[in-house]
Amino acid sequence: MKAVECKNLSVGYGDKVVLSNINFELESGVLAVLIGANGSGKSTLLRTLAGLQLPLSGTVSLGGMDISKTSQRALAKTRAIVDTARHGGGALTVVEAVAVGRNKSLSLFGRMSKSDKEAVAAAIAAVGISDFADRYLANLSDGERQKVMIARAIAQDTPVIFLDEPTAFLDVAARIETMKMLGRLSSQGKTIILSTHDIAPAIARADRLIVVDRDRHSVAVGTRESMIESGALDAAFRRDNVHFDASILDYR
Amino acid sequence: MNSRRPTIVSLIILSLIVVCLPAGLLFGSVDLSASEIIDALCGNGSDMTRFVVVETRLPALITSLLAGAALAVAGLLMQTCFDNPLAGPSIMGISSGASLGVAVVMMLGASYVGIWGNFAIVAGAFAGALAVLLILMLFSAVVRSAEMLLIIGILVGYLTSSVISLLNYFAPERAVHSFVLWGMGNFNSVDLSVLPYFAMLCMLFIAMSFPYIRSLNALLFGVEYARSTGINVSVIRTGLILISGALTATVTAWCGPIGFIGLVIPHIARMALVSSNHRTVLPVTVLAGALVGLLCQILSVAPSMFMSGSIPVNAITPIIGVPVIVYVLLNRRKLLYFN
Repeated sequence: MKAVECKNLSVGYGDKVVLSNINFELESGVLAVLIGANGSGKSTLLRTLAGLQLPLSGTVSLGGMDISKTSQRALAKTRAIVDTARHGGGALTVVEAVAVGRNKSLSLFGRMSKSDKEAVAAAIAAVGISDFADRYLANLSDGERQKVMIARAIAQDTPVIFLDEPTAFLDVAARIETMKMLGRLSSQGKTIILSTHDIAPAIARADRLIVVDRDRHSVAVGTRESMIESGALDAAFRRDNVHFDASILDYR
Repeated sequence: MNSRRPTIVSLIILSLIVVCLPAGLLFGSVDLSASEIIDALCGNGSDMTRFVVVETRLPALITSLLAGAALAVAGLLMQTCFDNPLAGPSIMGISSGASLGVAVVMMLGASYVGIWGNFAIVAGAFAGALAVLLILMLFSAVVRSAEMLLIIGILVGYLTSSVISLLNYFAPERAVHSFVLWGMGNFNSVDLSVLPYFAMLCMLFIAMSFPYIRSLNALLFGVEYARSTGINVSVIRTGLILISGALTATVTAWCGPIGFIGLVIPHIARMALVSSNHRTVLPVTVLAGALVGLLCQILSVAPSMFMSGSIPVNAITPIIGVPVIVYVLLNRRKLLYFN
């Protein structure tokens, strides 16, 4: 069974088709990076894959389940999301914030069982923030806070995790650290799909690239080598008069 | 967070309630000594003393505890549900909606006399509060901005106030008089025969909010995130709105539209706990709301020891509420729960 499978997928808003005829599969334990120019439909595609909005046509299956026919409750057991929006929760400690990821197993009154506590501690340890487990979210740096959000997704204990620009607002060290951590998670069997503008470190670690072509409203999926060879990476930013340089794995 | 802080804060509030309750029994227009009050509570003393203590002061104190707790919980649910720290039953027009419902039934001749009179007024308050909540729910589906929704709530409040003014203009003098008195806020209007019903409704609706703790915490991270954890946000929001509406309507029906408690207490609870975790914030909001309701009742009747009559509750709540809200607004960046 594939972790993620798209068949004849079209995504967009209302009557407006942003990307169409998308077909690809991702195996379990793959780190897939979604790349595309601003306004290319990258976020729309990620949101549709994650089940945050419905496909215009075609299907998305996560772990064999068609997301259009799956309840939010069932979806929550299949995928977790990490978004860039900075919401409230500043007066929650790291442990409390990560525990929210265990929502489906907590008691109605929000009480954690022993296994919840273990899962939360393991998730916090997995992203390397055990030292500040009792600190408030409001007192963390952007990078630390992003790690908490990733730990929260890990605590949700789903086979697939979607991340929308997880390295935005982070400094260079935090970006590289985050990508390394996501690489570790995928090697442990999680399927990770993230969108990013931080091309070089993402491409260096990605098992699969999902490249959105803004002009052709299409999506190419493959390994780094195949995407370089096919010119898909070059085409992604064609209008901006930039080219992909395979020697530095980045645009120039 | 200090894991003992919720226990310490709760114990402090409970101690203050225990200290204030006897003070509440002592204050009033009839001068009674502590021993007379104890006698009356034990079923001894004169009929007049027993009437004053057991049938007047005690029900008013219990009403103030329950009403304060109920409004505070309504405010907390609304603030998290609408993702707006300035949401509250009085700010967002819910109390005004309930007032309009009560005004309509009062102008039609209903009064607090008899079970049907009480029932009509409560039904009017529920209908009015829920009508405003429905309007806010409809707008919340269209208007994404929390500030815009707050402004719409304030405007709906103005609209209902204008309809109430119209009703007052055309109503007979007696109905206007009783409605105006009711509108000033009063915890003395729940007599001993009605108190069990009032208490049951308040406690029922407060208890109904507790199973929402898990969802309220997820909503702190936004609607979309909450949905991604498997929460049916529409169902949860509807539940939260109905409970906050029911709490506001219950209190407003008997005590009038009490301002500020619903808005202020959740902030006091979050600041005291240094937390926005509803697992601790909700119970402490109940206790803090009860304490502030009690303090308002005591401050309301205390002047009657020196002059005739007590002062309206709504003359006191802004004195407690406004400084807190000004402090919160001026210190937004320092308060953890805003970040």
